[in-house]
Order: sequence, then C-alpha cells, then structure tokens
Amino acid sequence: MVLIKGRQVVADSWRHLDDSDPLPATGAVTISWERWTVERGTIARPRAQLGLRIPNTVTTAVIGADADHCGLIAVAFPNFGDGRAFSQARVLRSQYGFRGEIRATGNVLRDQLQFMERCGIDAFEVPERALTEDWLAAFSEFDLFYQPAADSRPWIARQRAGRN
Amino acid sequence: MYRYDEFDRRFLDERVAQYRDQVRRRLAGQLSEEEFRPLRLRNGLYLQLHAYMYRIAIPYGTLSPAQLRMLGHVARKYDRGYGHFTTRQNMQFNWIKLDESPDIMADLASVEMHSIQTSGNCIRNTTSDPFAGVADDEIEDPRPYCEIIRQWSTLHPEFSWLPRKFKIAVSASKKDRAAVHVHDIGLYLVRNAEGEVGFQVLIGGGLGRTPIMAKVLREFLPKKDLLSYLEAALRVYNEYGRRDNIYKARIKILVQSLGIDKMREAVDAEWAKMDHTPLDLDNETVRAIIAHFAPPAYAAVGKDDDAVFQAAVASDRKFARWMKYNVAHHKQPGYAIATVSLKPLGTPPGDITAEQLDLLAELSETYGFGEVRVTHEQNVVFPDVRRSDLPAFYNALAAAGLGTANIGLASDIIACPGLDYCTLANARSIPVAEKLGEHLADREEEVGPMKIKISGCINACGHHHVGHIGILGVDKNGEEFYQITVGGSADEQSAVGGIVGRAVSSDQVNDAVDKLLDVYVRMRCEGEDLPATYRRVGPEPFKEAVYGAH
Amino acid sequence: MVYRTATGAGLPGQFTIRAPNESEPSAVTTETKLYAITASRLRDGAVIYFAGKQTWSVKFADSAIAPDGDALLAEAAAGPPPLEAVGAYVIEVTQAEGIIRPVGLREEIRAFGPTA
Ligand code: SF4
Repeated sequence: MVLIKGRQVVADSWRHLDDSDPLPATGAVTISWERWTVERGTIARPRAQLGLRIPNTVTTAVIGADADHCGLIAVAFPNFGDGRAFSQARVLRSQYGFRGEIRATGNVLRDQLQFMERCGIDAFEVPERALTEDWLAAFSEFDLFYQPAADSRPWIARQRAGRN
Repeated sequence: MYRYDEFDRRFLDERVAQYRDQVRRRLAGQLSEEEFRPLRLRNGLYLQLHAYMYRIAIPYGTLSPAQLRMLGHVARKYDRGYGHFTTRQNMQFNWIKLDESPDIMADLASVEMHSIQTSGNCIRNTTSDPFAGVADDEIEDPRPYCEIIRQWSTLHPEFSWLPRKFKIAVSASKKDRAAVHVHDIGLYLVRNAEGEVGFQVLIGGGLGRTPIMAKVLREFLPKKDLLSYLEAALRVYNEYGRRDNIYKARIKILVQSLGIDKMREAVDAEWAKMDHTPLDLDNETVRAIIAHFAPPAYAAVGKDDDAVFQAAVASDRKFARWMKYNVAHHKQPGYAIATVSLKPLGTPPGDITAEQLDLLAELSETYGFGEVRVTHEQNVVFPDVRRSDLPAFYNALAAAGLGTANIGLASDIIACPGLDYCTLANARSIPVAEKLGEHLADREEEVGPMKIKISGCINACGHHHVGHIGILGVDKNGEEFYQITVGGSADEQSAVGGIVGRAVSSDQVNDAVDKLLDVYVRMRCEGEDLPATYRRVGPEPFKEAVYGAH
Repeated sequence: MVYRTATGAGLPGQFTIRAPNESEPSAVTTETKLYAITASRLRDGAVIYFAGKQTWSVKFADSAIAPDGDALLAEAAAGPPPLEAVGAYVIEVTQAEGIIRPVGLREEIRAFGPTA
C-alpha cells in the first residue's frame, strides 16, 4: 500500500487501530466508525490525533455532525462501481466545511483519482503498482471542468464569462 | 445548433488522450478486463456478440452536415458501411475494433462529437423533442437547457459512479415527442401563474423489468435553479439508491419505495443545505447558450410557393401520401418539418448506410439550414424545409430509397438490435420487425396512427411497454417466443400496455398483431387511437381475438 | 482429452471434415454431450474458439470439443496470454458425421453472423 497526499507519495503518519486495539494515550490514530459510535463519550483527543474510518453507508448528515471531532476521515470505495463516497467527501467539504484530511481507501483506481480529488479527497491509499504505472499523472489528465465541485478550480462556464 | 468553443474542443482532446492511454494500458495488460470495462463503457464501447459496439452521443438528436458525413466516414472506415440510430437519439456501430476506437474518437472530436457517458452508471445523453425550435406548440426551445445539462453532467466528478444509469429528457410542447415520462428525470418547460417560464420536474420513470411512469417531483422550478436542483436529486439518488441488486438500482425503485412525497422531502432537504450560488444559472450564461439556437434566416413566403406544392400533391399520389404522413406543421409560415423514414419495408429499423448519411448531409444543406434531428423513433427529421421545396426534396429522397411514407403508421416500427447483435437478448427483434412491417403495409392506412415497438429482452431498449402494440422477445428452453402487450403509450397520456396472453412463436406474431388491429378497427370511436380504445373497452376483446374465448 | 476438429467456413452445413491427423479412436458418440470454449478477442472483439494446444481460432469449425466442458475451459484458461481471450465460457455443441454445430440460436448467430 502506498499513500499519495498532495499529489506526492508520502509516509503514513497515522496508525490504524483495530477495534480491539487499546487506544494509545497520544499519537494520531484512526478508528472505525462503529467503535466511534460506541466509545465516543469516552474519547477525548485533540482533533489532529483522531481519524474516523467511515463506511460508505453512513449518511453525510450523520458524519457531518461529528466531523468537528477529527482531523482525518477515511472514506471507503469497496469496489469501482460504488460511488457513494464521492458524495460523502463532497458534502463534508462543501456543506460541513471539513478541513482535515479526507482519505480514499479500498479499491482506489487510477482513473477515478481526479474525480476523487475534485470531490475534496486529498489523500489516496493506492496499490504498489501505482509507482510503476505513473498514477500521479492521472491528477492532471484534465485541466478543464464543466462544473463546480469541492475544489477551488475554475469551471468552464465561469471561464467563458471571464470570471475565474 | 450548438458550436464548440476553445474550451469544449480542448476538453474533448483531453478526453481522447485519456481514453487512448486507457486502451494502451489495457492492451499492455496493465488493466484487467474488470478494471477496463467500466472505463470503456463510459466511452460508449460495449463488447457485443460479434465485435465491439460503439455508441456515439447525438446530443438532443441534432446533427450538422459535417457530423453526418463523419458518421458516414466512420461507417466506411471502421465498420461495415452502416450504422444504427437508437431509441435514445444515439448512433451505434456494430463492428468496431478496440484498437481502432481511440482513432474513431479522435475523428469524431474533429466534428465536435463524442461518446462520453453513452453507457455506464452515469448521467447519459440528454434527449429532447426532435421538433424543438420549430414546433408550433412549444413554450420555448428546450435545446439550450439540454446543452446546459450536457455540459454540467459531462464527467461530473460526484455522479459518474451512480447505482445505475441516469437518463434525462427535456420537452417544451404539450405533445410529448420525447417520451419524457419514461426518463429518470423528465423536464417540461412550463409557464407558471405569473407567466414566468420554468420547469415541471418529473422523476422516477423508466421501462425495463419494472416499467413505471415518472411522477411530479416539483410543479415549478425557476430556470435559475435547474442545475442546483438536479444536483440535489442526483445526490439523494447516489446516497440512497440501491446497489445490492442491479434490477432495483434505478431511481424509479427508490422513488417507488420512498413514495414521491418522501422523495420530494429528501430532495428539498438536500437542496436547502446546498450552496446554490455556484450552480445558479445567470441570464448571461443562458443567453449565450440560447444564442447558439437562434432561428435561421427564414425566407418570406413566395407568391407561387403554394401553387408549386399543390400541383405536386395533385399530380403525384406517392408524394401526396408522403405529405400526409411524413410532413408536420412548422411554426414559420412557408416552411414544413419533414421526417425521413428509416423504416423502408424489409430493412432493420433505424439502420442507415454511409451513402445515405452522405446524402442526408447534402440534402440538409440544400433543403434546410444544415441541420437534421434524430428521433427516438429511429427516423431523421429535417426541421426547416420550404414548402415549395418539398416535391424536389421528396424526389431526391425517393431516388435514394428514403421516400417511405409511413411515419406514425404500423410499419414505422421501433426495434432494438435484439439477438442478432446484443449479448443480453433473448430473441431476435430485427427479423420480426422486418416481416411484420411488410405484412402490415397493405392495411396500415386503414388502421391509421399506430405505434408498434419491439424489444429483444426485458431491458426494453425497443420501448415495447409503451407501444400501442408491444412485442417482447422471451426465451423458452432455447427457443424464441414473443409476448405481446396492447394499449401502451409514450406520449403525454403515457401508459404501460397490458399483456394479451401467453407468448407466441415468431411465425405467429403477424397473425396475432392482425387480430389485435382487427379489434381496434372494429371497436374504435371516431378519433380514438388504440390506447384510448383499450382504455375504454378493456383488455378482454383483445385477448379473445388472439386466444379465443376462455 | 479427446478432441475432434473440423474445418470449414461460412454457413452451417458447408463444413468439410479434416482427416484426423492420427488414428484417434472415435470415443465420442452422438449421445454424449459435447462442449467447446468460446470467447471474444480483446483487440477487436471477434468471436474466437479454443482450438486446443494453446491456440484460439476465429473459425467455429476449428473448435476443440470434449465431453468435459469445465476441463476444457481450464485448459483454455491455462493457454496463451489470458489477454487475448475475454470472457471465455463453455458452450454446448453437437456433432454428426464429423460436422460440429453450436447448440442454440445465440451461439449460432455468434458463430455465423446476424440473420438479418
Ligand atoms: S432490449 Fe435487450 S436485446 Fe434489445 S438491445 Fe436492449 S438489451 Fe439488447
């Protein structure tokens, strides 16, 4: 597994706990959404040290309400066709103003990277072969877009009107 | 029609480059078939029975002469000399090679055409009324809004991996020629009490295994809100649409299970949370798009125009018949809307050869302003023919075998490709359509307006549910059978046809249809079409005619 | 595994029988169900048939046939780069007087082209 963040390959500074792992006193950790819903009352951690791994079946309204507590939200792409996490990420950014890391996990595909990035996902867990197959190039396959999204890039209707 | 600017062109070039690289990676073994399939599908490439099938978008059905000629070129160079117009205003080629597909895409891009999102679980080509802009009963030209939707939906980052495909249609006439009720979202341009023009929004229509007519989601949506409201609806669908069962994944099933009121609540709640401003359509943007669809420079009606035309009607019976069925009223005096039938007897419905494509290109320049429209009924509309030119236009068509005068009649059959080409088919459609069309030609004038629609399987690409007479291919122990429905309708009265009885074998289809038509002709009241008669008399007389008393 | 091969082009009924290379015993009777393997060729989508010995052919008549379809499919999958054959599957065939034919209209249309 390789982590891409900010369009670069980086080391993962987060520890991903199983539900049975004890919660360390300090350090950046992610826990499952289920664990969070059970233990949330007892977890007191600075935002920068808490990440939530959410299944794509939790509605954005529910996650959005808790987004304030954490510095990372890992969204899930269980298979290529299941695009629910695109909406989760988009809503977290656009409607809840979530500023932390949104990380794509699961079956993350090269040809979806740019869509994911436009929806506000900024970190990507990708397979090793991403390194040999130049997945970073996928982020810049398009430099024109027909619609606004969760990124700050201009879109064509605006560019036409001379308003970037 | 809409012409690309530098942004559209560059965007398309980027898409071609991306696709070329995807094909390269597949052929080099970097992508598995499983990974590649959704990518090629989003570019319109299917793997079918004999080869790859390539589906090209014809946004809201409009084609220029250059585009027609390019389709002819593709047919000649990359296919076997012909193509097929589908029931969603697209064109399909049946004999395409994967390794040539990026070149085809590049060729198409040179005339501002593409195949983006013609397949896959994403927002598909937006369809419209083939008479848009020239119909005498429309509130406003729907095409600019189709184009606005086309652009917004193209490679939408959030809605490219939906539970299932998503089809939008826009119409602006009281007479629905776009089958709006069978779309995931249907939009009618309407005027509210204050006289302001906006959209009535319908949701959850569709055919296939579970045919459902769309329901009204919102009676009036101001134009400015079009995209933000669509985005809210799509987000609700993306989040809540079922993904566990492909047959229950369309939005119609979500609307059905929630109920239209809950659906409306959900969409409105999402809409309320969104920041609309980025998506608000400002007048300037809309006006710029509308400018692309400005009416052409129509000529004034000539003094002798009518005389030329009347003389031809009087002297040429074939022309008179063609006038009767293939020509419709135009909003501009002195002009007519002419429909070219792609249903000559004994040929596959919707098929067109490279030569015919070239000819249509030429004719659209001579008899019009260089534009044709493809209809969901698989014919081609010439929107702006001068009435005085109609005889010459007809003669040119007839000389090329395109003069069939059967629009809206029994031999103007809609049919999907069926088992001759399609991997999903249960039975053939094309030979059934060919034989039935030939069989009914003799009595079709007596029968009058009649819509017969044939699908090779329950996916219903041939819209059989909404045919006045619908024919569905089914498989019984490896043999082809056909289930017949009656009383369906795709217009503003939309209805799903009722099953007449057990499926019949292919050689019984003609006879069964004859019997249904007999009942209709016998029992109809003045001015009633078959669905109206069916509503009035019920299914029994039809059942009895085909299967005898029981 | 017992293969029967026949060559021929075009329409059913026009097949000619290739003389067996070896004096293979005719172990297959008409009552035994027989199978072949078909797929689509990656680069152009052409219909192809597993012809045995790690090869595929666009001619139906070149099909390797055997009473055990699954074993035949396994053998085909072990063959040349899996890249070439997309979506391989087993089809039933019949054989009479050395001429093999696909069973069912769908496979007939795949083998011999559209009917209309
Ligand atoms: S209705 Fe069925 S057979 Fe016909 S084109 Fe659609 S999927 Fe194929």
